[in-house]
Amino acid sequence: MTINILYFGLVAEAIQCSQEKLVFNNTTSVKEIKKILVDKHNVLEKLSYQIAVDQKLASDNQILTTASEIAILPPFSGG
Amino acid sequence: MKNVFRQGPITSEFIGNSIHKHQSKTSIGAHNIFLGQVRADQIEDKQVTAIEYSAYEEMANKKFHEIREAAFEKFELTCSHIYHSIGKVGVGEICLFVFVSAPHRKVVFEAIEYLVERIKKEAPIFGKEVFEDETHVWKVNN
Repeated sequence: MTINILYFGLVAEAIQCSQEKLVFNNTTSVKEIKKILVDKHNVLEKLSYQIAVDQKLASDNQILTTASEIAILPPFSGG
Repeated sequence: MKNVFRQGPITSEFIGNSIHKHQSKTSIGAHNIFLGQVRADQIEDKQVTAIEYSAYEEMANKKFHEIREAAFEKFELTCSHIYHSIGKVGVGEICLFVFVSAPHRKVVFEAIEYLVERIKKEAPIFGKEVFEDETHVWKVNN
């Protein structure tokens, strides 16, 4: 399945990309996606971030079943 | 879904108009307002001149909706409004405007704190502190 990945703030700046489409297996977990993303963008290993799946914060064991939207979110600093 | 984001600073005219709009709602006996203002922080030997905000807007708007709904359940409120800047906001300008109204005063103090703390912690908004020389650092909420 092809998944749209969005990067924000410090993370987008560090990897010089704010959006990309990647193809994953149908039963990929958030944890596996993290590994794939770190392999592609090594700098992610040093950064602090959370992952949102379909606009909700996701845990490592969440499995992506449909074509979800994934967002990589650095620490929040609103207000 | 209501869009809470406003391009650039939130002006005192906008805040004044919001207050004015509530004067027709005569069951209200108490308002409370929180205004977040951009501070001229000194970081190492450089001074912040502005914060440039970006956000995961769809998720943030959903989160703001969820936070407001939770506040209505928790407190006896008549109204609650949240506005947050997107883009550049200079030092001394307003970047967050939270406005609650209720029949009586006690709940508005608790409600405003509840809303502001949840916004700071849970809204996917990212502030870049820009210095005079155009370099920047990314801000992190405590």
